Amino acid sequence: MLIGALLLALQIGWRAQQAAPSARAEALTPPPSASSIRLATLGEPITASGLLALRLQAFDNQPGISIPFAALDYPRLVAWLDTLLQLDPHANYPLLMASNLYAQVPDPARQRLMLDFTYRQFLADPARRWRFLAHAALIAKHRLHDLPLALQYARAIQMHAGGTNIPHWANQMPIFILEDMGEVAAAKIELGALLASGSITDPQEKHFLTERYQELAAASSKPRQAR
Amino acid sequence: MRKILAIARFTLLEAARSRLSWLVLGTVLVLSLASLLVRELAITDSQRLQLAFLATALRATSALLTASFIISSLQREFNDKVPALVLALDVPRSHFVLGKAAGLSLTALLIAVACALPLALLAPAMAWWPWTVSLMLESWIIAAISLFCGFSLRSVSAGLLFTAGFYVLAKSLATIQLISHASLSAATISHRYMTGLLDTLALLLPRLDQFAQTSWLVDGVERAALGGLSLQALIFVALVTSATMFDLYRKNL
Repeated sequence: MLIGALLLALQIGWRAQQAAPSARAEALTPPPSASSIRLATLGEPITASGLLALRLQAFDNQPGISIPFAALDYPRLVAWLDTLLQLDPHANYPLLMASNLYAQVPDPARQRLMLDFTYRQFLADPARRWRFLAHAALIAKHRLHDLPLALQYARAIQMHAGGTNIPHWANQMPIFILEDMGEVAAAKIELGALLASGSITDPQEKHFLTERYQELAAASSKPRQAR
Repeated sequence: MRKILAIARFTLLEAARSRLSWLVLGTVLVLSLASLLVRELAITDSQRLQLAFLATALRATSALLTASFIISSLQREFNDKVPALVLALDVPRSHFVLGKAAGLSLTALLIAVACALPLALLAPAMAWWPWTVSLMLESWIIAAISLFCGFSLRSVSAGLLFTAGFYVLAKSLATIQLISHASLSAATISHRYMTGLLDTLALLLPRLDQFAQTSWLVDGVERAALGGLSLQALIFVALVTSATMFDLYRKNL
């Protein structure tokens, strides 16, 4: 009994003096191919994708330790996210990580990599992935201050995922970005087309947008009057 | 027929009297708790991830518990000379095999249902029942292979190794074939030989990757093709059980 207790204490002591596992940025190796992961997990790609996403998540936030995103190899990160989506095309996890986590890095080049990943993946399944691209458009507008890029994303949402499947605010994004870009006339045309399409059925929203259209019309006529 | 039923009944009784049910219950409980941890770790898709993890873990558990119970119980019976004792009575060897197969298959089906039960709380009913039925069919196949190993190999380690090898190969052979056919060295003779070998092996094994697919639970089932899976299970179980019977007939107990 005493020997058993001593051996148990020895085991606990041995493990306690060892350092706790920690995340190292350089430990993020390139991902194996999707087919290798399928093989290794005996044909369970959805579970593999989910668990590997959790592992990837551990590289940016572990108990008591956090690796700055800037320390991570972003092209490698994109390769991992690509693989995760190949394994489970219906998963939201890789797109959420790209648009909401890794795009927060204060480095425009790395942010653009994540936004580009989100855009490419959006085109593969617009109906399911539009909200991640909408977030990417907001990052392009407010963080990168790249209004043409934000407009490209907003127009992609309108064009590929538009219609009744997405909320009106997402459909109306290009109008407000055009307005921010000073393209008041173009914004007026887009808003006019939206109102004329009849897709706005809520009376309050219709009223708000009509007022907005009138403001834009007034603003776009001012420079002409000035001239 | 009465002899077969009697042997099946005693086999089921033995399973009920062993601690198998507690083992299944305990494992299912531990894995369900582990799935809660996985759900807590996820920042999105948490229920999807929990469901996928639990389904994968319970599916593997069902196969492992079925194989280990059947192989070890048959090994114990052979050590205690039970088959020799039963066959000394007026029981043909085929009846003995069929009775054992019926009892052990029923045990395997009960293990599969117990493993599928926690998923009923997480998955939609229309996705859960085809998944559960196909898990039962897979367990039936595992039971038949384990029965063959228990009768023929007479060693727990060898039996478990053979069954595990069968399970891994039957689940991953389709992926191995895909990789092999897409290889860049397709023109070499050795590659053609290996590909041919894999294709031949694929003809002999059931495609277990088509059974109890996790995607049915998380994305819904469009067409589970349970008819085809049932027919595959029936053909393979009949083949393996007849092989078990053949082996027992040629053996000197």
